[in-house]
Amino acid sequence: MFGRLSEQALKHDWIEYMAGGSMVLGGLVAFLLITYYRKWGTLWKEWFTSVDHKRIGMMYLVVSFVMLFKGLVDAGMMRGQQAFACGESFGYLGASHFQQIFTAHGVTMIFFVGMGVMFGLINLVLPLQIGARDVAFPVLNNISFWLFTFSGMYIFVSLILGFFAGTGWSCYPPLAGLKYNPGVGVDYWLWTVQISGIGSMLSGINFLVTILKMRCPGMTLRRMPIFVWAILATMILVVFAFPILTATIAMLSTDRLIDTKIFTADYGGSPMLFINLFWAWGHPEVYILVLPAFGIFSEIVPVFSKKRLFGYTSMVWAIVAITVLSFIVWLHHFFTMGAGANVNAFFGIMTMIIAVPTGVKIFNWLFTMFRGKIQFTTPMYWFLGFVLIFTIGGMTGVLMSIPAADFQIHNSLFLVAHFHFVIIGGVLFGFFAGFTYWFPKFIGFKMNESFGKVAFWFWMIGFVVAFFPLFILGFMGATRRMDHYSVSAWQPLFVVAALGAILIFIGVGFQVLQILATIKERKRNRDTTGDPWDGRTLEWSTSSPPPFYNFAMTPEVKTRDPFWEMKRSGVRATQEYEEIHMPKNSAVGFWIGLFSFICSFGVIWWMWWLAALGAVGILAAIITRFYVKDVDYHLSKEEVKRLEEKGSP
Amino acid sequence: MDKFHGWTVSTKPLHIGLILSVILILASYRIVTYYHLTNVGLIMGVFALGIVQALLQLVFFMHLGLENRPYWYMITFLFTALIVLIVVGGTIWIMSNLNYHLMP
Amino acid sequence: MKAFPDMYHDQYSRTIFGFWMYLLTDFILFGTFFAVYAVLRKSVLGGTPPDVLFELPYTLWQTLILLGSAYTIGMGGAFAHRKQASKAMLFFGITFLLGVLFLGLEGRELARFIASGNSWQNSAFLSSFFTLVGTHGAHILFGLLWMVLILISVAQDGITAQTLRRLTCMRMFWQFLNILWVFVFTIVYLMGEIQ
Repeated sequence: MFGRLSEQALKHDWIEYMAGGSMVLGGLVAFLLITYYRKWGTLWKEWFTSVDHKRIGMMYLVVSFVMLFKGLVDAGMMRGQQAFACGESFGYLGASHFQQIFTAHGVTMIFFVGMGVMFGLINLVLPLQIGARDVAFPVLNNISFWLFTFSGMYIFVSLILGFFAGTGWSCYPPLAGLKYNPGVGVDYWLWTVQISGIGSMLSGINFLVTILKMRCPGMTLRRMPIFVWAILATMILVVFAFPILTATIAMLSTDRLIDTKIFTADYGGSPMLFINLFWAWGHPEVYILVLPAFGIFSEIVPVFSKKRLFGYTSMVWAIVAITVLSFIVWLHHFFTMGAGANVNAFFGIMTMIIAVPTGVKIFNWLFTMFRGKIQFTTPMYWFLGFVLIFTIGGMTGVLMSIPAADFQIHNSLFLVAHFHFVIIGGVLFGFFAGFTYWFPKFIGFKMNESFGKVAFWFWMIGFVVAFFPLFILGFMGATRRMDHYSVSAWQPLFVVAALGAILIFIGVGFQVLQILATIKERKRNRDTTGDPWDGRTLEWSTSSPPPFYNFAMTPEVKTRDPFWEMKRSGVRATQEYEEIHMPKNSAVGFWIGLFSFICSFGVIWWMWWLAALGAVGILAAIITRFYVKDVDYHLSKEEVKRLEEKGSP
Repeated sequence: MDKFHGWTVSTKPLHIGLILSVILILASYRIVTYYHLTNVGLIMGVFALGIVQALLQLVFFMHLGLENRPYWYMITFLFTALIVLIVVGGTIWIMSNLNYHLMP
Repeated sequence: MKAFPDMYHDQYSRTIFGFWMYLLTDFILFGTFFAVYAVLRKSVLGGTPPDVLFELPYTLWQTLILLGSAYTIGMGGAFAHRKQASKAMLFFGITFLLGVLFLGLEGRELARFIASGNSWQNSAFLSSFFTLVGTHGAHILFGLLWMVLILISVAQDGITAQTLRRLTCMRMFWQFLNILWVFVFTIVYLMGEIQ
């Protein structure tokens, strides 16, 4: 009845008890507050079942922030451990606990922070930028969100029941196979990644069709903002890379569940095949993470330089080149696995080539700034930080693209530093810039600049202090994922890195202060025009926040930077309102997400009756939705007029 | 009525597609069972027949290639085919090199 | 700014294209399984090799049945576009029966393998075979379930904008599965005969 779930699953060390306990406490407090203020009805009707891309986007961001907090705690714990665990001292974390931490850290940050914040921003901004009312498939959008959220629950569940995988976020067999890891840890990993992967793939299809089919009249591909081009490319990567992951993880699951011999070390299986396929997905994945950030910067730099983006066409070609090339470099993640010189040479050269289009983009942003009227707002700070950090990260990537060099530093801390420089410099700084930039649009008032800038400096300096030593450590021979080491020469560098982490945490603290100050000063900073930055693209033509239907009348576009053009040529809206056709909210996403969680929980713990229940629930939710007829409604001309003139919700 | 719409309601492409597919299936079946292949050329031939049949079905059953501009169906299909070739071909290349270099 | 048609006015085009994109992701999914099969097919480990294990005439029948069903569903789709609900339902119904027959034959074949000691647990070759063919079969099964749901809604509502969209997606799905089977038949069964 309880499968392999027993009281054993509740046994943990004191740190895990504390973490699990504080998590339960936090959840309880949130639950009680919502109940006390009687907000469940609102939450369900206006948010959880909403098919409005703006609401879904905000929900993604809320979940991602919680995940970011967890990921940063993991990071802090690792830095703390490595600062102390030298020679005689073994630190405060046992080896197996440490392994779970670095695995969870990777999974959390890549799948739930990286993907989450980007999908959140894309949801918020994309339809507005192309002059659409919503995405192509609003209900599917909601489904994707709940698959994302429920799959992330396992990261937290594993603190209480059982344990998380200790294999590293890439979860290689044979260690991840049935023989060496029969427990639930790897199964948690598998279902977290599988379910969120399906959510991502569905979003990929959704956003792709939105861009190709729902641009407003006049917006040809060559008039799209570069942010939209970046998202188009990202979604192509998502749609074509994620199925590889789905298939690969499914096979690892069957290896563990029904004893197939695909990635096993015996019976003719091939663990190397897993590594090959995983990275065939894994490389496009890192471009999925960073391309939206490139898109964000392409929006921010022109606006705060008061100058149009330099080299639009070359930007588009660079994005296209990155998209295509990202499918033919994946072996650089395993040069050392032994495929030989010819194979390594090919992939090494391809990896070097892919650096070129990225370089083109950076130069284009800098050329945009040249002779512009620069406003050094917080988003611009994040951009300038990105230029330095990401470029260093990128160059170290090119260094490692040489197989001979990589043989020395593969899986060393040099690698860890490289990818943190590009991910944090690129994805995270890009997100912070975009969040600050678009905050007034969706919330209605600007963010506090002073705290924002202080936060930036703590992040910037803290990051360099935390991660630059890792380059040195990597050259000195330190490998990744170590819970203990004996070379005392390394310890000072680890201590410096830990200090850097503390600086970053102070930076996060200032970001929290920034949000509090922003709320406190909201009346003073209220955006009454909808266009606080003198923007160039269509989202700035709506009120802040926009009405739920985005545009009363679909815009018609004649140039790039259409809003800039509209302002210059003094286009005024006509008074001819039309009836607006909108989709209704739906609970199907929530149910599919919940039952997916229940089904996978049953599979993980071998509670087959529960798994069957979950599967039936998913089917029931889909079938019910299939026969629902009441899926949309209309806003009459008069209602639209009333909403527009009152200055919408 | 444009070509694409014409093919959507018409049954003739289906008849043609069915007959051609049956011919190709029987042909490849016959080649394999009658000749008991070891000849690489025949192997390639059978594989080519499969590809041709797939393309036939894409055109006659699924109406690929008949749309007006922009040719999103064709473009996305070609890109998919490219990725499948890269992933499958790349995997075979990589794994066979690994096998060669790491053989005991 | 002028008023333009609402976001629903070309829902057909968006839905069909979106479904096409899903089919392309499935193409990549199966591509991955084919890649695995290509790598692992030699790992028979002294078990029954494919040319002995597979019964080609049996598989030929399966192939022709599935091809026939792709034809009948195409006919169903054409009649749906002509708004002839009962003819459409007839052809979709025949497709359903052919699909059940195909699945039954496949189930029988796989059961025979398992009973003769050739289950997925015995070698990497068999694992990759079962994965590939099993995933295809699972897709067919879901297709059959979906077909039932659609036919019920067509029986209730006739050919509306919504049922036409769904019938078209169903047709695309089924014909896509048939194209995949062409590859399975060619690469797994026919090439399995080659030694």
